[in-house]
Amino acid sequence: MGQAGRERALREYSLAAMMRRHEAMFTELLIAKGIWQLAHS
Amino acid sequence: MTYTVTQTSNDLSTPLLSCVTGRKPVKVVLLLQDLYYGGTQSQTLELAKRLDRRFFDVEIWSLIGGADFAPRAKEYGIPVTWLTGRPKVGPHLLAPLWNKLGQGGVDILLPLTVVPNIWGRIFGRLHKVPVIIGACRGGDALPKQHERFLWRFADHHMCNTSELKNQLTGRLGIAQERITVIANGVDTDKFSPPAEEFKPVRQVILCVARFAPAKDHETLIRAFQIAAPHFPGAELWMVGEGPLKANVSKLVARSKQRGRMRVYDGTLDLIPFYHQASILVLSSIGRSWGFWPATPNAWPWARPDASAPCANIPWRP
Repeated sequence: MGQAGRERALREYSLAAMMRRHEAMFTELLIAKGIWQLAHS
Repeated sequence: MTYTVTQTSNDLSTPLLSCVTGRKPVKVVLLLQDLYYGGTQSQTLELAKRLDRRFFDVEIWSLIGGADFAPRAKEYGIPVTWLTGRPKVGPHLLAPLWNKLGQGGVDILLPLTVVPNIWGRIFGRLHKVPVIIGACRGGDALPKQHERFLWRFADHHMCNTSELKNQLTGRLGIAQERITVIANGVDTDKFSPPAEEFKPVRQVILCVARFAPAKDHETLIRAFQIAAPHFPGAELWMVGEGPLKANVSKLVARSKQRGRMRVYDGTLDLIPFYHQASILVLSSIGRSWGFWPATPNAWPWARPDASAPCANIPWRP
């Protein structure tokens, strides 16, 4: 795997990316349900 | 009462949340059928380990017994509750699940694999869990977990391939914005190229997969029997656990190529196997079945891979 491929793997398919996407999904759903509220809203 | 989020971002280079004020962490329950060896179980543990504890209070509930991954859960400090101790699913798991959800306190319920996605969603909705996320992992998930009827019991869906998202939007008409695709993650620190002294010395074709119908080891063995005479040094190693393991072992034992095929027990440490592999292979039946859990782990090694036709290979190393 070249450097570009490794960078893409880290960005798209690393465990960190997987976790961040879950956190983003959870956050959006909690905001949508009114459990969390954005500060500027 | 609402709770304030001062920043959110999907940009992976910045913190997702800078601050949530006014409440204790949100309780997230990851509901699994079991903790036997499997890709979903592995990904669930890695997710639970990494979710930010300032914001998310994570637990794993397991419907039945099975503790292959229990040592890892303990190592990661993840609370695990086994709702029953029996080795197989059955009606016995319904009352414990109903009662556990009835105790309340769950903010986000994420059921993973088929049985949790059926009963977790139904019971979670009846118990008014605020956020329920249906998970579709694997090409057979949609019919098995009755998505046609049960998708409405979820606030949102999560798939590990875009192909599955297409099926949910196309076949069932679920709105695009209600589905998030999250590919399985690779531990890019752990899975790195081996040191020179650990480079493969054999010609190993490696298959890491549950011995289950969807993985179709029978086809893999037949393919190896065809290819083996042309590649006298090649060996086929199959690693995992599952209901068809004995059948696969019998097929191997009856084969003329049995001296070149090995069946290994599932293990938490797969790195020695990957270090010896020249080719990784999955013969999964469906287009996206089981492709991700093993193949991304091969990327750091940059081995060529062979897979059943798969609509969800975005790129090759």
